[in-house]
Amino acid sequence: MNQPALSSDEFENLVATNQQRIQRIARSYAPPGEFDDLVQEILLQLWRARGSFRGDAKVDTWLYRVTLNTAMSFRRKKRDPIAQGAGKETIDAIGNPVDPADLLQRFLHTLGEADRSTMLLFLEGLPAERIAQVLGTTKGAVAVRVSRLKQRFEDEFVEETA
Amino acid sequence: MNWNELSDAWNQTQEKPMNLSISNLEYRERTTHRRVRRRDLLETIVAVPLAVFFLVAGYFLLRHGMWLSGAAALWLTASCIYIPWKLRKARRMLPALKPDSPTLEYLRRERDALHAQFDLLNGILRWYLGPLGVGVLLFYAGIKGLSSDTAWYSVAVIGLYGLIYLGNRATARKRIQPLIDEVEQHISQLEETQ
Repeated sequence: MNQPALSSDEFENLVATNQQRIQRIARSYAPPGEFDDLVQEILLQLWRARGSFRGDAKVDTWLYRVTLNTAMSFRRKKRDPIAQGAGKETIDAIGNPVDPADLLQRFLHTLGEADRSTMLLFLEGLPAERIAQVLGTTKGAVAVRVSRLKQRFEDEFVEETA
Repeated sequence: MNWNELSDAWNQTQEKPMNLSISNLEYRERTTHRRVRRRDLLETIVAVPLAVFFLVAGYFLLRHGMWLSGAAALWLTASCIYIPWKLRKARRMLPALKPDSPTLEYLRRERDALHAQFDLLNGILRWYLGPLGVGVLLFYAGIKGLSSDTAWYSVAVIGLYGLIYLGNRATARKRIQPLIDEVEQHISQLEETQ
């Protein structure tokens, strides 16, 4: 039987180092009141997938894949109404429209799934090539999407705070 | 706030330290495996005695010349073996979701798994209700003969099975199909700019 590529100690270190990343993404996908459950589900999926982690792979690519895929499935199973495009009231209810963090959340809630995942990875500071590796698409496709997102943000949200 | 300030706003979000317990993860992993094994075992525990019962009943009924009931009992024996086998086969055929795969690949597997689930629910008449229903009705009719009892029993069985059939079709249509549509939409969004 193959040994897991990550030992328990290595896994703990990995999670400790990346806990802010995991939680930021979980926060963006968790339906109200489900944040802790989603974080625990992500941890379980990371734990179960640790056997597939190879030291030569970029750890953040592996980590973001598991985190994003688990978060998206979790939200789908919970049938979040925002994901169904019926969340106008919820979007309007997000905090202060001039507060940067609230504005960002408002923007994220207007995005479709593919845009949202690209945007989250972009916000995490991943270069286009790494985003493409996480999503299974191409660097060019990511660049086009980020460019569209930028345009959309500037059209719809920059004026709002001006 | 402009585009370049978004990352700062994002990274300024500070979450509480996370509660990680390796023993808890190990426990949850073990209980998931155990739950699957228990479910398979339960299906076998229910199916095997029923199959044996109908096999023995079929043998004695045929020996006493009750051909219709005897044949139905043998049919039910085969159904009791076929249904759990079909369920296990369907589960084995489900594409395993690998959360560490690229999102596009993960979504395609998720879509395939949902399609398989949809087909199983939608086709319940073919692999579950049909075989059992035919067997049960013929078994009863063979013992009781053509009587008002048989007619009422048939109406009750067909009514009950009809409700189960409609319930499963509704679940496939109202719960699984929207998920398939959502995953399809996500896939096409990701493929759009490829």
